[in-house]
Amino acid sequence: MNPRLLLALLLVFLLALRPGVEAAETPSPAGISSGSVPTQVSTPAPQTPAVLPPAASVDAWVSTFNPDIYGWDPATKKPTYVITDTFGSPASDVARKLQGSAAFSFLVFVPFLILPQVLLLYIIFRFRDRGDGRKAEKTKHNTKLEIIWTAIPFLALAIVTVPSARMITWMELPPPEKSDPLLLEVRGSKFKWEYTYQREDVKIGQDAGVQAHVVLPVGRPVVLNITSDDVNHAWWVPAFGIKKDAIIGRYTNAWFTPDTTGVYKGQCAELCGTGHGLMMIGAVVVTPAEFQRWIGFQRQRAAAGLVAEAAVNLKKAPDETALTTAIAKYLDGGADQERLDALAFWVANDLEGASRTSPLAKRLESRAADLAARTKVAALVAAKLGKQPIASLSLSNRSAP
Amino acid sequence: MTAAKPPDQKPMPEIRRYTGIMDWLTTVDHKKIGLMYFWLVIIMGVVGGAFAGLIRVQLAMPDATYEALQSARIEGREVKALFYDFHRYNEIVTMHASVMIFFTIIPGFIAFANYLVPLMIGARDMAFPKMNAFGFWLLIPSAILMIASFFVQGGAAASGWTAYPPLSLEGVGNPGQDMWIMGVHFAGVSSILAAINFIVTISTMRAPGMGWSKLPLFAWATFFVSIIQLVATPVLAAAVTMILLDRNFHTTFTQASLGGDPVLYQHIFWFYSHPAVYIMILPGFGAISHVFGAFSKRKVFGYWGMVIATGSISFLGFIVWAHHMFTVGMPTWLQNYFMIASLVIGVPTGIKVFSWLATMWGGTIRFTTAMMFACGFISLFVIGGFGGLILALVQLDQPLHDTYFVVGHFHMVLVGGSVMLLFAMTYYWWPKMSGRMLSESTGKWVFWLMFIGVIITFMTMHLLGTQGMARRIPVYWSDYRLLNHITTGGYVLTFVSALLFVADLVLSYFRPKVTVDDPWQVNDVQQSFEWATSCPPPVYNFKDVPPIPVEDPADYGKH
Repeated sequence: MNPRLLLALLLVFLLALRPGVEAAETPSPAGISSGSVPTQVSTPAPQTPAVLPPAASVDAWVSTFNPDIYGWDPATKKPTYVITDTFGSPASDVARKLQGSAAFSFLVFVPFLILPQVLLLYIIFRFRDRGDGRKAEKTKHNTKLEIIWTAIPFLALAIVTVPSARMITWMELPPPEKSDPLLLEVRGSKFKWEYTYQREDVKIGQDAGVQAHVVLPVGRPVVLNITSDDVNHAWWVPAFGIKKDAIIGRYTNAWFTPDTTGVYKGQCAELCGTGHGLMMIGAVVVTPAEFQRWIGFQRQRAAAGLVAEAAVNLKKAPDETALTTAIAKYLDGGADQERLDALAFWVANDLEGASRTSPLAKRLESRAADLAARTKVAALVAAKLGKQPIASLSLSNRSAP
Repeated sequence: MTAAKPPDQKPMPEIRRYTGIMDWLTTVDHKKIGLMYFWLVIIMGVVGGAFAGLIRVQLAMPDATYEALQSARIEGREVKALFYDFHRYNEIVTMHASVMIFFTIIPGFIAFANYLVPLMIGARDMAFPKMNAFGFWLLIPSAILMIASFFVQGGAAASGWTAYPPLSLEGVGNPGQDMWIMGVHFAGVSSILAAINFIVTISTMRAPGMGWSKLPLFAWATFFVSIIQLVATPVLAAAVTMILLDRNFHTTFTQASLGGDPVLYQHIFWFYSHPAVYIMILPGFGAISHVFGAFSKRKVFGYWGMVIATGSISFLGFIVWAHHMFTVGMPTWLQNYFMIASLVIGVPTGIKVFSWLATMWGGTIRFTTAMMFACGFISLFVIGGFGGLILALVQLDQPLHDTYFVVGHFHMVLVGGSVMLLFAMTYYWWPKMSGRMLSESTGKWVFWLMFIGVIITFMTMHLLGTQGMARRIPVYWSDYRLLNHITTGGYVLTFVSALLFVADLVLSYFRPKVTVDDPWQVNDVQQSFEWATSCPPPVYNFKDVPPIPVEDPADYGKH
């Protein structure tokens, strides 16, 4: 393989540069230090019926639902995220219990780590041959001592085993149906993840070569049905404390309740071939209201995608016919607020996605073209609906990379 | 009070038909075969260590972080990492493990067992000398098959040493994976032959008067390990044969789309590979008792406790395999069972550790290099075992499985445990095996570099694992960069120490010969047969069946 193939792999897995952190730092959710990831609740869409939402809220949606998992700030050349892990910053009920369980087990076992070391050091200093003619002892066994050092470890094991068995039994017990769990099918294949929200009938996966984040509502149990299309993978997000193999021909299950909003990283945890190290998982935990909005966006994905595609093409060839046709067709399908929000979201999202992999020099140029295309869409929508476009749509409050 | 030399009763039989290189190629003498094993192990150990170095170089490259990759992409730069080709990285990872397991640690103990067990039990040779030679010579094509697979189309096996299907079923037509499987087969046959040989030798060829209760602990450990090998290795052969057939002969053992099951392979594979963990350390447990006893001027404490502990570890090793697969989805009761069974192994292991400490207690301890390695082994092995206890807890295995915590744990046990044991054994028995002393002053350097290197390398891996770094990845988040650099530094110390050791081994051949039978002056307490013959022992070891000293042959078993 050559560097080009590596770059192709990168293309597949690299997500967009996260836009500059919002000027005002929002209060951090528990467990995530400040400046890590944008988790602010987006401003709700204005109540004026049937107008595109203001740019600020569209941009907020894009960065909430499509954060950059690498979080690399090319200006400062530093990561902008904080690593989240099970023991340091748990973000689910399972991970929190695991944190406690780890601490307890550690405390019970740690004497067996320390005691031999201390004894060894003592023996080394106490019984070294100093050439003073001391004779070695002749003892060869001591039944009482041997029984003690057999029995005490058994006792320690019993102390740890009981809560561990209860813990795993709890982990393996599915959430009750009345808790309205989110059923999520997770399907791994080389080297990407596909998620199906089984009750919402929404499916996400790779989009324009970029791994989509799985979006979860905070406080609602999630039931994972994990499987694979080819080799073994393992779905693992450390902050949730969940790791399950994805195996072709069978479903494995896990469940947890995310309890903190934020962006969590994970990756495939079972060697699956060349791209194993780049098989990323991104999980975004949002409020239930945001989750419902996101589900709404996903439902309009197919229709809005045509408009977004035309808007992306507009940057290459300035021909508005296709865009006008696509917008007209989209608005014919209904022009309520949800559809317009979705339109604004997908146009902004896909435009940004298209310029994600541009070299730094071209990104500024690309940003300007993005804004121009968004203005154009806004104007065409307004013309079609016979309303004034909202001027702020074309003005992004996000800084250029 | 060395064992009295008997008067010559029979002339020594002449078995040297050739001299020079032909003598080595045709020899059936267990001592020469043991030495050939030993040097094969040294060579393969350096090769495996170099593979580890390639892994460390990749992980030490500044561009091996996701952020640097992305930044390079955005700025249109070329990425500067060792492996542009992540497939090659997977090959190196696979081969590092395979070489270290199949050609370094397992044959490492077989090398010493081959040399020492007949001496310790007062036998002239192994029960089946020709089979013994055959077993050694099988390892050569095995090693060649594995290493040569780097140069065939598609490269070497890249599915990890565990070769989980369906990944190992990929690349049909590329011979790399098939060569790996055949290599495992050859190594497996070699291992089975050695096991049969040891079982028969120890059962039937003990000197008159040496009952089971007087068997040296190293021979006991070799006996138990041989049983493990005999029972478990065919199962490994079955597992990899399923892969071979699925790849080449259209069978469907592991192909889910045709009714097979990839998890079946995992169960069968780990049924071998968990006992294999004990194949890789139990003989050293037995041997290190000799070292502790010798340099503390004490009899080994709790002989029967040691024997029973070794036996129970061997048995328990067979019933805990699925703790390697806690994330594949198993019934809760099964997970609980495997957790409890795995934890119970901690008890006999603890008995051994405490018995070693009790052996030293009250002794007059001489800190030769061998003894330092033995003490270092206890310290590091206890750390590794602690990680094992944590990993055995099924709920904690969920977040830690397949992270660097696991890598840190088994390296702490295998390098801090088995390799330290092998070093201690070499320093203790090299005068017997080669007739030359190793340098004690160099040995101190070797020990401290190795000890500090192992702690640095593998403790940081434990930390990386708890922070969420997955194993077998060629690139990582930049948060882990500092710890990875520290790990690489530790690796350098360890590898320098190993090279120093190999250099000392080679140099020892230019040193004067040892003229006494018992250069460590341990036999007044130990009374082990190997110190009752010359260094190195003559062909056929003993001029006649060695006489058992009247009162106290090995004196391990008497209470």
